[in-house]
Order: sequence, then C-alpha cells, then structure tokens
Amino acid sequence: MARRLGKFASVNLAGAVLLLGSTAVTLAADPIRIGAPLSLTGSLADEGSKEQQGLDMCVDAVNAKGGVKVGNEQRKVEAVKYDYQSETGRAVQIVQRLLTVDKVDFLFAPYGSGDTKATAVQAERYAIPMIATSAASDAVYDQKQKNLFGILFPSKAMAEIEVKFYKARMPQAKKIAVFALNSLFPKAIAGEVRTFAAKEGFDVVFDGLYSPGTMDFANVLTQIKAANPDWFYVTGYIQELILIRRQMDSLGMSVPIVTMTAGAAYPEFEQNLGALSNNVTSNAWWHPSATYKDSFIYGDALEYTKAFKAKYKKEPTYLEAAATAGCEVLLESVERAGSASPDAVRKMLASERFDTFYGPIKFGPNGQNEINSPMILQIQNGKYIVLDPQDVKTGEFKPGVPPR
Amino acid sequence: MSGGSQALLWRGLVAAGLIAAVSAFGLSANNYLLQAGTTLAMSAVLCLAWNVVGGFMGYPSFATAAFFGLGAYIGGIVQNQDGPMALAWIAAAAGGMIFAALLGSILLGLRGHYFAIGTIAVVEVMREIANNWEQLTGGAIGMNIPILAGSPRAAGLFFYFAMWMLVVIAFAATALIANSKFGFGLRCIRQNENAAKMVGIDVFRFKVAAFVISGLIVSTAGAVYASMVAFIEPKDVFNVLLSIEVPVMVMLGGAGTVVGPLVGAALYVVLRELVWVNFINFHSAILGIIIIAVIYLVPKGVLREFHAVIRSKLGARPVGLGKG
Amino acid sequence: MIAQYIANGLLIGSLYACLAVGFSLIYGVLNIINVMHGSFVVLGAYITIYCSQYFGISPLLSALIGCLVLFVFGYLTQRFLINEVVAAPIFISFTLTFGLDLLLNNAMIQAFTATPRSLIVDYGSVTMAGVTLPIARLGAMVLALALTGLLYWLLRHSQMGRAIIAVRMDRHAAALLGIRVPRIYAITFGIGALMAAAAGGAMAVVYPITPLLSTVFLGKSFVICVLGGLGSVPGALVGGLALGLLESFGAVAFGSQWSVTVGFALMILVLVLRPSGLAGRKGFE
Repeated sequence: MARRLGKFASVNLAGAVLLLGSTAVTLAADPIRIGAPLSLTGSLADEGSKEQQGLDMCVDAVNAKGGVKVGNEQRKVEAVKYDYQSETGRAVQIVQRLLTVDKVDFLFAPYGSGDTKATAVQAERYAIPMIATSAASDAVYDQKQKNLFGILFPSKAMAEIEVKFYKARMPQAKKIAVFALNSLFPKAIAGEVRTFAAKEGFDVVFDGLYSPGTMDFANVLTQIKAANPDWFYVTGYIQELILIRRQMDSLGMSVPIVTMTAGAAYPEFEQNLGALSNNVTSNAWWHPSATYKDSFIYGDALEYTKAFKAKYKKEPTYLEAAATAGCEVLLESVERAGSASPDAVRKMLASERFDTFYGPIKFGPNGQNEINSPMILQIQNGKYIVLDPQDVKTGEFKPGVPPR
Repeated sequence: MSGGSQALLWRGLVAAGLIAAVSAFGLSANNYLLQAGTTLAMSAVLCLAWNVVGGFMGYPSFATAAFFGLGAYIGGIVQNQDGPMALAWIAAAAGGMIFAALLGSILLGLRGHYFAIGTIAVVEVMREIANNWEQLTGGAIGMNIPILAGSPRAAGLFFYFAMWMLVVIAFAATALIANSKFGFGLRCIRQNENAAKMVGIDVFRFKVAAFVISGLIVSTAGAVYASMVAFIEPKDVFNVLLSIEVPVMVMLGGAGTVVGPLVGAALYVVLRELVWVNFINFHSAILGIIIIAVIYLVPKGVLREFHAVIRSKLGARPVGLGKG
Repeated sequence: MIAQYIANGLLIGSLYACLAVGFSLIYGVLNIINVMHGSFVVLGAYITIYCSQYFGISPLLSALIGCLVLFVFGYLTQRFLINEVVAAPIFISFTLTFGLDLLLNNAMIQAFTATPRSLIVDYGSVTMAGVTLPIARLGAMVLALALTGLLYWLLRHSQMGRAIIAVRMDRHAAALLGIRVPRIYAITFGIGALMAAAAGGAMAVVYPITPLLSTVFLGKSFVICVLGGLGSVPGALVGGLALGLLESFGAVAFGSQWSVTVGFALMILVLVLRPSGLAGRKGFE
C-alpha cells in the first residue's frame, strides 16, 4: 500500500508542481521571450556569468528605448534564464523546458561549442531559431541545421589571419610549437593554426595535447624549450594558460612570439599574471576599441563599452559583446520582419546583413557568421593593444616573451 | 511476506494500476513533462540496477557512470554505422555484459572502501579514453547520433515508453532475484562474506553475476539515452556525479528492498526539479541540505521508516528487520 | 633532461603529498572518506590569497592563518555533524560528506565567484646542475615536507598523537583505556582540515584558484592515498611523490593528455594487486 501511494503520489506531485510553475510564468504581459540556458555554476560559471551580462545589456537597452517594434505595436523583451550547471544533460533539459513549458519565442545557445551542438538538435526539432554567441568551430555547424545561427566567425579564419600576420611581422620565424587543450574549440583552433602554418612554410617542432585538470606543465614545457621554437601557440581556458605562462617563466623560457588563445583575451588573465603577461599575444572576435557603428542600440563600440563599465565596473570582452550582439540581431530581425513568428525571423536571419557595434554580421549557408573581422591583440604593460586590423590598431607588435 | 494467490492478485492489480497511470500520464502530458517522466524512468532503471550490487549485495559501486557511458557510446557507434536502433541497444547490452564480467572479475576481489574507490577510478579512466580515442568516439568534440525521424512529440513518446519498458524489465529482474536463491545468496554475502563462503555459496560467481546483471541494464539505459539526445560527449556520459546520485537515490528509498529504488528515484528527481527551478543560485547547496537531512532523518530509507510508522500505528510490534 | 623531469616530479609530488596527508589521516582514524577535502584545500587557498592581498600579510603567515581557521572549522564540523555517522557503513558517511561538500562549494562560488585568483609572487628560479628549480615551488615543497614531517613526529611522540594512533588501531580498546574517542575524532578531523589548508596555501602560490578545483584535488587525493596506502602519513608521502613522478614521466612518454589517466590506471592496478598500497601495511583496512 505504501509503495503504490509513494509512486503515484510523487508522479502526480511532479506534474502538479511543474504545471503550477509554468502557469505562473505565462501570466506575465506579452513580451518577446528569449530562452537562455546559462552556466552560472560549475566549471563554466565564469563564462556563463559573462554571457548573462552581455544578454542583459541588450535586453535592458532595447526595453529602455520602448521595446521592439513589431508591426504596429511595441513589445518589450524578456530573457527567461535557467542555470544548467555546466552540464550538457541539464542544458538539453532546460532547452526542452524553455520550448514546451515556458514557450519562449527564441533561444540563446549555452556556452561553448560542445553544449551548443548538443542543444542545437532540439532547436532544430522544434524549428525555433537559436543564436549561438560562443561557438566558433565549424564542427558545430556541420549538421545542416536551419535554425542555428552563430555570431562568432569561423575559427579557421582567425587561424589564417594570425599565421599571415606573424609571418609578415617576423619573416625569420620558422619554427612553431603548438600545444592545445583537449576540448572542442581549443583543439580545433590549434589544429587549424598548425595546418595553416605548415602550409605557409613553418616547421612544426612540437604538437601536443593536454587534459583539463593538468596541474603541472613543467615537463612538456621542458621539451618545448628544448625544441627552441620561434612561435609558441598554446590554447586552453584561462586557468591553464595562467599556469603555463608562470611555469614558462620559472623554467626560464624565452620565445619571440607567444600566442595564447581563449582566456588570454580576458582581463583576468592580465590581472592574475601581472608583469608576466607582458608581450603575450592573443586574439579576439571583438575589442572595445573597434570603430563599428550601430543604429539599433548603443551607437558604437565606445558607447557600449562605457555603458558596460558603468554597470559592471569592468571592461567587456568579446564574449559579453557577442552575447549582446546575438540578442540584438535577433530583435532586429523581428523588427525587420514585422513579426515574431519563428519562420519570418528565421528568413530574416538567414538573408540579412546586420551592422552592429560588434561588427558586421551576415550568416552564411551553414549558419555561421561569414564576415570575418578577427582582431589580434597583445598585452603591453598591462594594457590590451590591438595590432590588427590596421584601421583600428592601437599599437605595434613587440616581439619577445619575456620582453628583452 | 505471505505467499498465496490473494497477495499475488493484489500485487498484480497494483502493477496494472501503475502501468495504466504511467501510460495515461505519458499520453496526456506536454513535451517537457514527457521528458521529465523519461528522465525519471531512466533514474529508476539506474537505481534498480545499482540496487542489485549495492543494495542486495552490499558492495558500494560507483561504476554506474562507466556502464552508462559505455552503453551510450556503443549504441552511438552502431547507429552511426547505419545500424538500426534496436540493434544498437542490444549491442550495448551485450557490451555491458562483457565489460561487467571482465571488470567484475578484477575488481570484485576488493572490499568496502577499496572497491568503491576502484569503481570511481574506472569511470575516470573510461572518460579519458573516450576523450582521447578520437577515431572511435570523436574525442572531446563529442559524437552526433542520427536523430529519430518524426515530430518532437512522437519521438518523445517513443523514448518515454522505451525507458518505462526498461523500468518494467529491471523491476521484474529485481523482483525475481529478491525471491530467489540467488538473491538469498547475495544477501548472505552482504551480511558476512566469509561466512557465506563457508556455507558453500560460490561467492565469486554470485558477485560477478550480480555485477553483470547490473551492468547490462545500465548499459542499455545509456544506449537509449544516446539515441534520445542525439549528441553525447565523454564528460557528459562518464559523469562521476551520476554515479554518486544513484546510490543516494536508492538510499533515500531504501537500499536492499525491491521497491525502494523506485520510490527513492521518484522522490529525489521531484525534489531536484523543484529545487533547481526555484533556487537558481543555491540549488546545489539546497540539494546538499536535502541529502544531509535524508541521512539524519531517514537513514534506512523512506520505505522502511514508513513501514515502521505504519506498523506502530497499527499496534503491531516490529518483528525483526522486516523485508530486506 | 631526465634530471629535470625527476626534479619536476618531486616538486609537484611533495605538493601532492601535503594535499593527501590530511585525507589519509581522516580515513585511517575515522574510517570515512571525506568528500569535503578538496573544498577544504580550496578554502585554505582563498584565505591565504585574501590575507595576503588585502591585509598585506606574507603568504607564509597567511597560509598559517588558513590552517588555523580550517582546523576550527573541521573540528566543529566533525563534532556536530559527522560524529553521528562515524561508525556507520561507508555509504552513509560518504554521502553525508558529499552533501556537506555541495553546501560548502556552493557557498564558496557565491562568495568568491568562479573567476580564477592568484597570489602574484615572483621569487624567480635557481639553477643547480643544469636543473631549473622555481623558488616558489621549492618553498611550497619545503613547507609541505616540513608539515608532513611535523605531523608524523607529533603522531609518534606527543600524547595527543599517540591517542590518535590508538584510536586508529582499535577504537574500542582505546575507549576502554579512557581515551575520549569522539574528541579524538574531532581533533583528527581538524588536523586533516589543517593539512588541507596548508596544501591550499602552497597551491595558491603556484596555481590560480577557483572553487571548481575541489574535485580535481579530491581526485588526486584518492589516487595518492591508494598508491601510498590509505591511512598512513608516510603512505601519503610515498604516494604523493610517486604520483608526481608518474605524471611527470607519463606526460613525456604518452603525451600530456594521458598524464592524468596514467595516474588513475595505475591506481586501479595497485588496488587490485596490492591494496595496502606501496607503503601501507597489510590488513589495515
């Protein structure tokens, strides 16, 4: 008797509670709702909170100017957020909930290439457009999906620009060492750099991988030091990069060009390393000093940066900016289509060009932004200097890590 | 625990009632609730499987995630080779069986804490192998699996019923084991392994058999999961947290009983959903508090406490330790 | 080069030893697996970082403050929360500490956020016989070994220490001899937390800290204790150094991405072939 009660009751309880939860939400006014799974706890908590900030910047700005003009009416924007705890399974569950219970109009992809790919499956199933603001590997977009739109242009383009840049600045550099974190994006971009560098005549003297959770790089660095590279290209997330730079220093390594990807572009990298970050180069999909103009919100990159700083007391990186731009592009599509229906908006997203403070965005046939505007950065004396593109650069490349 | 046709009839009716309830729920619920119901079923399957090794036999296994991931990848690989889904699931079950037999013969010589730690290590090693053996698993990038054709609702219903079918199978297996000589042998092993050996029970065979049964059920669940979500990654399916949550669920319901795993899974999943939806920043803390509360208030599991309360209310004196 | 690899292995190995010794002691005496151990290390690291950065106290002193705080925290946790379940089956204690760890970890993420923080110290390196030794790591190694040695000495030669060992050998007999076992449990747990904080302090100088590291530290502690022998202090030392060397050479032999796996795989091997560990005693379960 107890058994039957237990099981029956709990199943009904679950149903009742979840139904209650969903009705509470739909009682609100009729805004345009963007469903956002965010990794606010767990291993991606740092990145998740950055994405949240970027999203909020867009929603607040649009609501401040009265909302989105949909045909004849003005509709406000609302972000429906859940924490997926950096776990893919949860992210998938949340997207399911956003689609069937909260009935959101559009979706924001979770952080990173892996989770984006996993949840894109559902967006496709339900035919709801999903904007990905943190996935750059073309492996994410290879499933011929119609509803996934990625703000970040392909990492391959980034790799090519970087190789060409350094080859031009330092023609005598011949040997490159590549060291990558074994995770979708860091591994993909390292592979692309390696392939392209080899094509351009570089000699790949070291090519290795490391797992997350590695606490000591001394041995690998010892090997790399022995190979005497001119260019050390290392990828990973911020923690490992900090450790690698520190251990390079304690081993007395001196390399003309050191590029660290994904993580080195965040101000925390420089804050944690202090003087050791000097002359480390990196790359980004955007930087506050870009001169892009925007007619939908914020006016230009400078205004955006100022507003961001006022609200969050720190400088925005490409991650927050991409999140803002992603939301912006979605809402602009609604305005241009004059409707919030998924089909109309999807058509707009697939065909239109958007000029935002983040840069020009036009989605290619596979859903990824095909306008490439990579920025090459270098930390000089605690400041991030833009080295490329030439029309927005703020300084010149300085070789030597540590500086000579 | 009386035999007799009346008790059997009663149980048959209860079972039929439950099956009707589950089916009705599935057919009437929206897609999200359907998904939640499928997740609940999956948890129930894992709990029932774990109960054989951890509840009946008393061996604290954290290997659940290892089998789950193994099944997911075997299923995924078969489907990517254009194998039909049914074949993928059977292959996963077979793989789980073989792996359990091998692993079991190695690890089941250990006891207590050592066994526990060994099983955790297996999960970690499997995950890293999946991460690095790109040609087979796609590596850290993950593996896409062909999506089941049809509307989200149709697919949802399919997997809902598939998972609950697994629950029925796992439950039947558990019930059969509980009432058989095999189950009795397992319970002897839990009480005192050396004594069990001395009264002539082939302890090693029994242990491996339990491990194999448990492993094959979990692997099949993994394959169904993989077909359902259509994209798997090593860190997602070889997740130690899964291995830890399952014993907690069983404990909540009552380890070593037949229905305990079901009750525990249901309670835990509902609690987790409630907490997660409503307390976005503090949900792990609150989950932690719930776990602590369980340990202090219902350490033997909800089922046994419930039985004790009911018995005392009915005026009967508690006789021995009851079932299990 | 081989000398450098050995040196690297030993440097990180002694950090590992300090990391695991508290975990090992708690297991040996209380017979529970303390899932909070990783979080204790992280908490100790944070205390070290904050004292150092905001109050300008030297890292060494900050680490010691961390040790003190964690000792009290551990003592109280054991006395009021864990004491109830000490003699219970492994699942209960494991799950309880797991639940407590969820609480602690969540609190830390809220308090400190997941952004990595470091102690920026630049002590440079010293080169001897062609082998480069970073001074920060060297200092961490010395601290780790000193504390481990101190603990070992205290266990053998102080009254408290001997009471702890008595309880480890046979808690019933110890109780009969008049030793207040619950108090010993609490003190041991406190000491375990203290050693975790010390390891955290040492880590803070070497590695950027986030609350998410607690699972990494816990995992390593498992491996180290199994390799060296669960429950003994010399075991943690042997296990730590062994793991350090293993990872060091494993990275070179198989590639960096396998170095963590090598540790776990070997752990399984040791478990199966010699459960008492490389330095443990047989039957010390």
